[in-house]
Amino acid sequence: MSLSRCFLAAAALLCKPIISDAAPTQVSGFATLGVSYTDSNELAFRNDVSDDNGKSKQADFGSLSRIGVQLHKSFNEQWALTGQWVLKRQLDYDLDQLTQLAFINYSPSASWNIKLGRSALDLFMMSPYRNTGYAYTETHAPVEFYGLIPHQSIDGIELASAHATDEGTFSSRWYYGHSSDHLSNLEYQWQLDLEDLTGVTLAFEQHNWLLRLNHSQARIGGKEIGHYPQIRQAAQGITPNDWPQLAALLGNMNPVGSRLRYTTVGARYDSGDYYLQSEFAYIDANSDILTHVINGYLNIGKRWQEYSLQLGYSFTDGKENNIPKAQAPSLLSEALYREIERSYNYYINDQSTLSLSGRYDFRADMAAKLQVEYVDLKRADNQFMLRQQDMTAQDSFLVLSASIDWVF
Amino acid sequence: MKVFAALILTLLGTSLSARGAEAIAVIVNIDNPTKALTTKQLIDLYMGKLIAFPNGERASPLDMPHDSVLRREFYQLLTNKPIGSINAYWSRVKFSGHAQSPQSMASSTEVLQRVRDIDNAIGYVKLKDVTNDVKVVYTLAQ
Repeated sequence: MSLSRCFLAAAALLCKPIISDAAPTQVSGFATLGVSYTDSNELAFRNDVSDDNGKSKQADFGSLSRIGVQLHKSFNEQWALTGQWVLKRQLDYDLDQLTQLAFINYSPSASWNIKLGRSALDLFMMSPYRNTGYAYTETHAPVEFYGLIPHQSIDGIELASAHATDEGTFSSRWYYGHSSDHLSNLEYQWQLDLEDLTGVTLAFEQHNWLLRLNHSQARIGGKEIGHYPQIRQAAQGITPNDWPQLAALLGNMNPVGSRLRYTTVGARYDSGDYYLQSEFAYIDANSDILTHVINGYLNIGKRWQEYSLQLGYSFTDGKENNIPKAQAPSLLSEALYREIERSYNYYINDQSTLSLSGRYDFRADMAAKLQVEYVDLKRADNQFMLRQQDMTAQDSFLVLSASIDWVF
Repeated sequence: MKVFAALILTLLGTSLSARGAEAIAVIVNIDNPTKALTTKQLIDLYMGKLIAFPNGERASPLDMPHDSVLRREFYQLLTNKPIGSINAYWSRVKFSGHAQSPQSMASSTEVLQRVRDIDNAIGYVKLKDVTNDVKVVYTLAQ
């Protein structure tokens, strides 16, 4: 809420002295009416791990549908304000949660740009525009790659530059700030704050090619996951002799304070008729709960004027933590083991998805999309999908989705 | 037989009209120091990668309405990409907050007038519509 107030105050201050030169406010936006169907009894498709709703074996109109409005006001060549508000299925609907962008832009020259406020988080290639379904061929960004990190904006400062040579155009983007969103599943929600979020994106574009490199770091802030105190309390019923490693496991279980590192390489080729896009990321942390995760995707598409067809493959894989069990098993120790194992391997979701997507641009500003995905979970107790029951088995199933996407 | 002949004539007509698409001129203000643009510079400028003239001065690109035939032909000739992918590209750039899409003008007349009035404006019109009080810096033709 405070960010929105700051933004409005800054807008009022900026408007007053330079309003005479200002261009009219540009109003634009995007909307998606989407539906998904998950052919699984235990799991439901969701766009990312912040979604705490979702349906198995029935049509879900909330997983992909959203509407966004963007206001842009240029005061002169140097100064501008941009705000964007997106309504979609989410945990909270207050102004802070609805605000995706709210920044003041200062551009001292055509090559340099500074944003102050809430700007798009440039973590992965599609991160800044994931909400705009019209922007891509598939009905949603690859879940294995994008689903784990719901954060889409950063409160802070961003410095961007672009330089052209005969060989190509080089651009860079540097950012610092903090970002907040939620992880959720059947029984809990946890606010995941990324503090001291620092990152750099380097990109080089030449003819039909884009090469992109990003490295970002953040410290996990916020409060401990809500039910951890209950786990610790329950653990008092087990003696150290029965489970010698328990105290150490509980001590290292809290992710707050850990430092996360994301390193991503990506490429896009687009000749008009054919295109491909691929990214690979290595995520690690100085924490026992996240040793490392490797994920990636490859999309290959063909266009015939208004029609596009795309084949996609995405995966995630990580180093699973082997949690030692109690030496003297009991019902309590088994229940504790399950909770501790889940906490330590929350990010380790060994799975892949093969997808086929079709898109028809039936108007200059509207597109219809259809997608079928084969999801293969190689590990039980999956966290990417929304669990419909406490424990889920290793499974393979189809997800069907369709959408109408519009920009205005 | 008449139907067959009509079909041949229709196909022939389509082919001729496509081949006969008129050349498009990219124009700037007559006082703009830019003499010519390369294809890469024009793509950078119209795709929001670097919205500047070769001397580094900021540019103000002008566009035609979203559904206009001239806009479709311009981007197809410039980038070899269908207009749907151009629109999708601009939705990525715009809704990321990275850049604003070129300002849309209602007609070629408005583009010409704007280029005459504003030093750093750049627009495109059919070559046959170009007047002596603007400068052509690039020509697109099939």
